[in-house]
Amino acid sequence: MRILVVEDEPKLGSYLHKGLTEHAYVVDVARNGIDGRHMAIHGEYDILVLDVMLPGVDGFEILAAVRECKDTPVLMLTARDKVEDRVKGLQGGADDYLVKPFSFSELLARIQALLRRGRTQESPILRVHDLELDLIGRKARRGSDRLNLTAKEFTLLALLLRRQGQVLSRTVLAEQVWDMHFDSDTNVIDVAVRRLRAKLDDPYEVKLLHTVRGMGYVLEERYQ
Amino acid sequence: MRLALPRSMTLRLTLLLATIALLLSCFAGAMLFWALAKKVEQQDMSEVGGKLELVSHLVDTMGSLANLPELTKTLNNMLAGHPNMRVWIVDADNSVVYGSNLPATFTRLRPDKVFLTTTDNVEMHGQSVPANPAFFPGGFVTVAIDKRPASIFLAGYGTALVAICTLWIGLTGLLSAWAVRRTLAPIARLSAQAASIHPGNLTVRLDVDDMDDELKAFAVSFNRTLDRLQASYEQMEAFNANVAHELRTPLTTMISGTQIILSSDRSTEELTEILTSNLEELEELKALVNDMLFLARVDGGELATDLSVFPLKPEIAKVADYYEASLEQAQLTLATHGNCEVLANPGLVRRALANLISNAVRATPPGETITIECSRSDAEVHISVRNPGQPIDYSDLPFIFDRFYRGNGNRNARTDGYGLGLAIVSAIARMHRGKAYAFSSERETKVGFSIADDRTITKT
Repeated sequence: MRILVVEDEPKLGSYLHKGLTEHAYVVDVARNGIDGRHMAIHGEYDILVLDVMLPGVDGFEILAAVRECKDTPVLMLTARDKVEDRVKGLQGGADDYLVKPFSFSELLARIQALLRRGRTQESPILRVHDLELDLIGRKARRGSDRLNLTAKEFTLLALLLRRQGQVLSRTVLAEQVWDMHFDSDTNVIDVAVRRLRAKLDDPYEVKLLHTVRGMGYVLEERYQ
Repeated sequence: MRLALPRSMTLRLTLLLATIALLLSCFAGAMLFWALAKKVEQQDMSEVGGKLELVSHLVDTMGSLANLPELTKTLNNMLAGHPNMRVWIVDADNSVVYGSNLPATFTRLRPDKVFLTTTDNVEMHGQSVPANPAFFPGGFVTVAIDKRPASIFLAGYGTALVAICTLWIGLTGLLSAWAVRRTLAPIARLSAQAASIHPGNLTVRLDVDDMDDELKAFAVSFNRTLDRLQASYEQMEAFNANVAHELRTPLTTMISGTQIILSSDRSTEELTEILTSNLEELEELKALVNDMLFLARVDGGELATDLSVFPLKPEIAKVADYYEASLEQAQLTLATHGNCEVLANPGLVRRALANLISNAVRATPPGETITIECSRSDAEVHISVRNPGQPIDYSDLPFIFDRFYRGNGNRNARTDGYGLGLAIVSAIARMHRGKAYAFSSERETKVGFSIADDRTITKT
């Protein structure tokens, strides 16, 4: 998967390069709008990450130029979260929008979501180790035990399972599970996860739901 | 079209007053001159009239034409002391009986008033009446007086008038300038006072005590504006100080923590530990900055956008779901009363409600119930959260919506977040043209907010 990042701030640019490369993406970074536009139009990328405020040609202009010839998914980054900006970006054909300061895990989650969009039909049964989630019947089991989950716990577990192996931040969980699009009291998520864990992991030998300190939660099978 | 007047009140008023003086004195001068000219002419005419009467009397009493030489002599004697006056007696065929050459021109203005020019080119005016027909049938007696002395007199008078008027206008101008400058002096004083106000001494106000009524209203409203500015400036300053204070602790932790780790070789575990700890601090700072930006935008007058009409109950249920685990952990139950539709931004309403519930969860003793209520009254929708528990101190109540206010002087309780939760509730209320409110009694506390929703009023 090839990603083009157009970001003029050198430090952020190289962090993004490093972070995305470590997640097995092939990353090119353009340091200004003019190079960025050239590379976006003439290069073959699976996704573009555009900073809005760039010297020379800004992110909106690159977006407009790209949309004339391609429909590569575009994720915009901006320090300004004025509603008009967001509207301008989305109307101009951007697929998603992220406001600085953002966390890398959130950027990664959104990039993966964009790349996954409209691909592969999801299987109705999700599995990891002995955990099985039936999305249609909304039933969860570990081995032969039926897990008694509330509706939100099921949604939370389904999200973690769908993105297994990927760290999901508390912000992403609050958004995706509870539709809370703001930095609320993140303690709430911890309590909710703790309750889920009491049903999901506590009675069993193999733990599946793990805390990644400072970043969020991940569901995966870990081998000792 | 409007006359382009100079943009200086002093100059403009002075010019206006001088113009008024000019017009008035021109008018007065013209009237005076006209009245005097009239008077002088009247005087000439009454003199002419007297002489004409005398001449006519002499003609009437001359007895016979044989006495004509005697009449001539009497008339000559009579005119001896009047060099400006002439007398003519002519008969029907216009031949001179008495007097010098006939006038070069002769115009009859009215039956008895005449204007004439003598052969030596002197302009005269006078009267002419038919002579006694017993001696001069068809003849006329004419008495006229030289106009020049009166003209010379009037010319002198006119010159004096112009001089007086000019002096009058000049003096009026000067005095007006002085009076205007004196009257407008308070404006300059006001401007100097206003100029001395700057962020360092926002408490200074314009001195309204000895001010004229016209300026008082202005100065009073200016002072009120200053009051408002001072209040918001002080609030802003306190806010900045608070922000700096809040940033200091996590920054110190991160800087010293990182320095200690870098001071010698560390294991991967230790490095991971410090980076993770930094990340936690940074996440909190991010949340703080985002909340501050949100509040700043609302302070700048931003109103809620993406409005839609929705029933409140499902939104309350969503937020209740979000807190379900937390409520269970704190052994609390949640009840919802009422339901109504509202025109608002659902995300913002959820956010405000989440902050209220979050506060209530912290303040309610285990086993109790938190109640969410929503209702509509006229053009407002009220959403509030009621919980039993320790009352909010009466003296704290007015400040709980202030930024960084944590109550009970408990400034360092990091577990309470940054103390921006209720400030955000208040901001969200303002974004919907409503306001936040709080009541507290011994038994329970109720905190809520209103949303202005005048749809039904505008719709019908």
